[in-house]
Amino acid sequence: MTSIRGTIRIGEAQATCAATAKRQRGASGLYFAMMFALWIGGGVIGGVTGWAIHGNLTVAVCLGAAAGLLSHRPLAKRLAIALFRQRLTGAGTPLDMPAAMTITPEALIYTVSDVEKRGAWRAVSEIFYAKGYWIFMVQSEPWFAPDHFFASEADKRAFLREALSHVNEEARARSGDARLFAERT
Amino acid sequence: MTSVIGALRLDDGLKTRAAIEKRTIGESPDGYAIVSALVLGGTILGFFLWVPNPMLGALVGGFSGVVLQYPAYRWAWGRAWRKALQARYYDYAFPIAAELTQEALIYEIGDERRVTKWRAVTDLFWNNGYWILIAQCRSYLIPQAAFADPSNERAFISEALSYMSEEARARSAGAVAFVARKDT
Repeated sequence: MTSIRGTIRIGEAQATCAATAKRQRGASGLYFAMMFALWIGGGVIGGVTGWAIHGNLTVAVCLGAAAGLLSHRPLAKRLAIALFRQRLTGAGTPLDMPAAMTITPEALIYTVSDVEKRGAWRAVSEIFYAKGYWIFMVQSEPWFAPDHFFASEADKRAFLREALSHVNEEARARSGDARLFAERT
Repeated sequence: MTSVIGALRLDDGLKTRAAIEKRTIGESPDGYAIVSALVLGGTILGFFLWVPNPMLGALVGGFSGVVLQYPAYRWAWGRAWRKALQARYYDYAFPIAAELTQEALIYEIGDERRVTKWRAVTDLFWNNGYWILIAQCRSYLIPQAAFADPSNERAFISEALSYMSEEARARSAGAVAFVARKDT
């Protein structure tokens, strides 16, 4: 057994985000190139169309370039998701994994396949609902309890009530949706 | 003890990303607003300031806006993220501890403890003063400052690599090279 100890300040490792993201969804250069291509391509298409229809280049170039730029974000998101999935499966990580969330008096335990995470309750900063998932924020990391993990609404309510009884006052105040749901009869 | 059990898709988090970011970084900087402001601003400035050729000026100005939007967005995002984290957590600095056992990597950060079987670790690499392990799309950071000296660091990385799978070692060429390097 070998171990080391140290301290990490919030945000101190932000400079490493690009390197990690590069391994997960490809280098940012790809997304930059995509943005340029859409900007220039949109401008050219707009210019040609505008010239053909009205004989006026300027406004059409600007509109085409703007449309190209605005289309970057949704397209980049799709590309990032596709690359992310491809890299995960390529690295031997299955996309579907068994998961469990357990409440104990001391900690929230979250197990996803080969990783078990244990967060002391004071590390849980809020519980909220989004798109079919109850999300527990633990030291800024989301832990997921999808609706389909629960046998019934009553089970879900009981689980959330118990979780809320363990988090601190500030976290309960931030978890308005969860409180309302858990207390509903 | 109460528990729920099921199956997750590893990319389930992507669906809920916007809602999570709203909670983690609060008032998230609007990427569209930053891109639009910089590109539009650059285009207008270039058009009016580049007297000999306004169209070329607009193009250069717009291009500068496209280039600048990325660092501008990252800066705004990082600032919002740090502010939101500080507002939520009792501590600004988290103690970390990483322990290597034959079965798993045990990583503790603040009030959280993660036990990760070695087969889930897919990458080990160095960047900007940190050794970073990736497992099931999460990163585990170990500051270089946590090591007493380079030989201690080398022994740790070497041991971690010895537990990782062949494929993961192949993806961690920088770490393998670091271990193979002789002390100077």
